[in-house]
Amino acid sequence: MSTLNKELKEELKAKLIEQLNLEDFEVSDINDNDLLFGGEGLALDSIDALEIIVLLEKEYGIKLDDPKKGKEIMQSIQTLADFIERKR
Amino acid sequence: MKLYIKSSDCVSAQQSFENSLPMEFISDTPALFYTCIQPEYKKFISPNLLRRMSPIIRNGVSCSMSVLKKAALQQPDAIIVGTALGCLKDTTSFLTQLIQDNENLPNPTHFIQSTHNTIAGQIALLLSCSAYNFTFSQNHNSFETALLDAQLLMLDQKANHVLVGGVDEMNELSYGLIKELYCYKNSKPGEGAAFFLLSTDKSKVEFKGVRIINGSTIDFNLELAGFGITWQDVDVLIGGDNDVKDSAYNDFAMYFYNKPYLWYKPFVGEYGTVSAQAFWLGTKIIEEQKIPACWSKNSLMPKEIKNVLIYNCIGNEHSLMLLGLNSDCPKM
Repeated sequence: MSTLNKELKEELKAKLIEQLNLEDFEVSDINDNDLLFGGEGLALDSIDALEIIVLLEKEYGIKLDDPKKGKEIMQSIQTLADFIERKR
Repeated sequence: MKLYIKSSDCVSAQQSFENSLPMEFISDTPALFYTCIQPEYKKFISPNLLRRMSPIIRNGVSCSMSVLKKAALQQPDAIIVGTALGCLKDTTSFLTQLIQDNENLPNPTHFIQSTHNTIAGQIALLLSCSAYNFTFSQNHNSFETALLDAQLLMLDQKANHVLVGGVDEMNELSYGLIKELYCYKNSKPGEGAAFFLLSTDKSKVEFKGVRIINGSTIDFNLELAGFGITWQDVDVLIGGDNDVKDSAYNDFAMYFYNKPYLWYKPFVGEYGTVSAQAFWLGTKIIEEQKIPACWSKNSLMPKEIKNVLIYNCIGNEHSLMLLGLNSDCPKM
């Protein structure tokens, strides 16, 4: 695992907590492979997905061109970080 | 048909939520505007929903849930909310972001939550209630208009239990704009939420009516006749005076000279639906049949509390609301 990817994941966790107002979470509470959506993990919903798409474009200049791949990309912090690294 | 207030609650700058009438006030006067003492939101709203709600939604929803809990009612037949300025915090966040980011990529949550009807909508969503759901924004008569709609709905026999309330919020940006526009020149702005369950079931407090008057003057004889009472029938007055000498209330005070007079705005602030706080105060003094001295403006106390008349006046917007004691109510 690259140092860059590790830093990126920590940054993503902090940005998600701030953007999605996850009041009860600290960066250390979120594991890289925790599910972001669904009943387990962070249990985010469709409005959060919209927020993450806006965050990707605003903070990293990355557009999600293929909405069908959204579910796969936004599965966890790990998959999100991998996607950002690939697109950078 | 008679209508009653089955339960009520109030979020304000004083210790009002889930409480009896405060016997003393929090003495600190805020520098800019009054803010609410926050209820323990997590008692009423799950953390996952709470994180997206601005203070006005949190206060409105918590207050509503408390009212329904007190009435032991799962779902009302209608939800009617009055709000003068709606979700100001989300609106200002959304508009500020639009300006700062040159209209690119605004935050979707602020936009979704910025509409006036978000509060009534969130209450309905939490209750899975698909019944009649309305929000009224009529400046300083927003709560009164919501109340009037609830009354008409019930008199038309379309509802037996209506959740009705008034809620507004204040933030620093809005405060700045209000002062720039020379609004509330002689008063301190505030915020709050007060909700009520209006019901056809008997309770101690009867809701006798609301009258909304737009004009420079008000004919109290005529308006009282509309309620079917005279000045002698009124036991307690609740005025919207902002300070000891508030000229907007001169005529009202003169007309009802020497009657017990309560006030509340110097302790909770001025805002669009602040009359809902007076409605809560009126409800509580009838329920409890006592008036803590701190609420009295002229130190007069009534022998009994049967009829309470509430008067609010901002510019040309006037309203009168009448509450009465239902002496044959079942024990609460």
